[in-house]
Amino acid sequence: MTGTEKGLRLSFFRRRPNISGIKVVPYLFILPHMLLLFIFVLIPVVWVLVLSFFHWDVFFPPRFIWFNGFIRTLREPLFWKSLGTTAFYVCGHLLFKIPIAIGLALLLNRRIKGRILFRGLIYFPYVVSMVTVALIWQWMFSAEYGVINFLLSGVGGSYTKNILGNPKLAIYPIIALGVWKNAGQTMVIFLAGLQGIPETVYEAARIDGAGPWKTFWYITLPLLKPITLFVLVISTLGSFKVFDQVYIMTNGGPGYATMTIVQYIYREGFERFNLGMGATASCYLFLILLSITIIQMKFFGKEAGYQ
Amino acid sequence: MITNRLKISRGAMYLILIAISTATFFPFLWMVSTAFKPASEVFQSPPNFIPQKPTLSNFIIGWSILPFGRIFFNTTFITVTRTVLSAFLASLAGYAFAKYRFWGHKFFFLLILATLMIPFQLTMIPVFLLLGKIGWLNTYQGLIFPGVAQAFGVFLMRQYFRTIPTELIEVSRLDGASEFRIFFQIILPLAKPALAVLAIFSFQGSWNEFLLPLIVVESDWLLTIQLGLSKFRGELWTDWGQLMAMTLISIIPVMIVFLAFQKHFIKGISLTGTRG
Repeated sequence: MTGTEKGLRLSFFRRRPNISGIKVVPYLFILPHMLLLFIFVLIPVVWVLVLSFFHWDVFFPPRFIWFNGFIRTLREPLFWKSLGTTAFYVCGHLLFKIPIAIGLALLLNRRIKGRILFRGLIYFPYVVSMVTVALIWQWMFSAEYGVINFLLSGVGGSYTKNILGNPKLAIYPIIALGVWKNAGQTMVIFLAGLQGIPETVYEAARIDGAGPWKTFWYITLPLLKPITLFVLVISTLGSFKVFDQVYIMTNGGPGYATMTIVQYIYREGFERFNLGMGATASCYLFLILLSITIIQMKFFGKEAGYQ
Repeated sequence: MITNRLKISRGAMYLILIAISTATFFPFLWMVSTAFKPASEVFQSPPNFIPQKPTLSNFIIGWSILPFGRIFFNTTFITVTRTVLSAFLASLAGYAFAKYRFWGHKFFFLLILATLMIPFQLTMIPVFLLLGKIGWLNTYQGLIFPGVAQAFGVFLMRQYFRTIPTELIEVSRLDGASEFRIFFQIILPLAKPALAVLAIFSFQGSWNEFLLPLIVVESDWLLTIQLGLSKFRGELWTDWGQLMAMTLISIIPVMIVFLAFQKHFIKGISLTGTRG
């Protein structure tokens, strides 16, 4: 009698602090992360929205201008031009990177000697900073001493062509750099996808007499659809933010030929001190990213049965 | 007949693979080649692929053009602090989301995931203003803290902690261990594989960061490696031999980490898919 009473009391005393502790503990656990998130992400998001309703050039106090900033940005030819350049970059990036990555993944999915080494070599550019590789590429594309011109001259190109200095051509090395740097990472994602396809599916196809091409077209590709959607979404978001390589290789030039949307925001905010306009352009960029993601999820998501 | 064809296709595949990986790796070879060339060979057309008179002078002179000792110290300090903080905060939060049911846990988790939609490029102007307000421009704090809270880290750690059986925690609770002790002495040591993945990605992201230093850093003593490299070029003329030498040095730490943890890199990508 007393024994159970004692036991009850003991467990009561021992557990109570624990139970009340459990209620507070998870909040303490997430607190540091949430605090930093709040300060460095959520406050700036609200701030960027508020800022875009103001005209503010640092030298004079901010002035509330309603939606005029949004309207003015839409009237800026350079805003549209940089959006167009970014869209062109994104399309080029996706169009080349995804098929190349699927091809590489198919090649390296087989059991062959040295595939870890090959994977490592192809993946390596992704690990290195964009600044570093953009500098190397800029040097390779140098007009007088660049190795690219030397290699091109071997196949009949003119020897001292200044590709990065040509407004019509400068965007292509920038696209190529993005594809080259990220294809390895995308390949690894597809490799994970390929390994998720059970061997029995291929066996069934073989028994039905499907050749390698048919197997790829009717089996592998459809089964890769969910992962392709995933790659499509993150690659679009990632490549829309293109900044570092343009900043290094051409700094938006020649003229404004390779200026991207993030470059535009950077220029408005940090070079022309037009903080309101920079914020407005950021808002537009956010709207674009959001709607592209939603459209891709809706459109391709249904097809992939992936909602 | 069939084996013959297989052999040919296998040989062709190796040829294709060797061609692709050589082409992929070529820019790095070109960097190394340029770094060891004397100026007369760097600025020579047509170029040599292999330096005729290899020299170390690019490394020696290049190192003194900017305060590279300081630059490497800065970058290492920022990277290590940020990686440790980021991994620690992410595992705390990830553990809470995996193993506790508390009021608002769904809301907070969705809030964290939603920040994946908001890249730093969108908020760089207010972050700059905010850092200015609290006096963190041109400081180490200003380079460290904006990058610590990574949504992807919380997500990764939550997924990992979910695989740890809850009974383990309950047993420790019955033994009278406090929640914090359970986390530090039992849970965190079990999370080493996930922490490794997280730390590698954080290291990579921090070492390679460019936009944040570009906005925050004002003086030479606070330069980071990527910003330093970008400032190495002159307005009119650049010594590419020296720049490639410094670029080569800047890649070495990343290369070591990559070679040592290649498996984790690949595993990390298939775990989360994202990052970058």
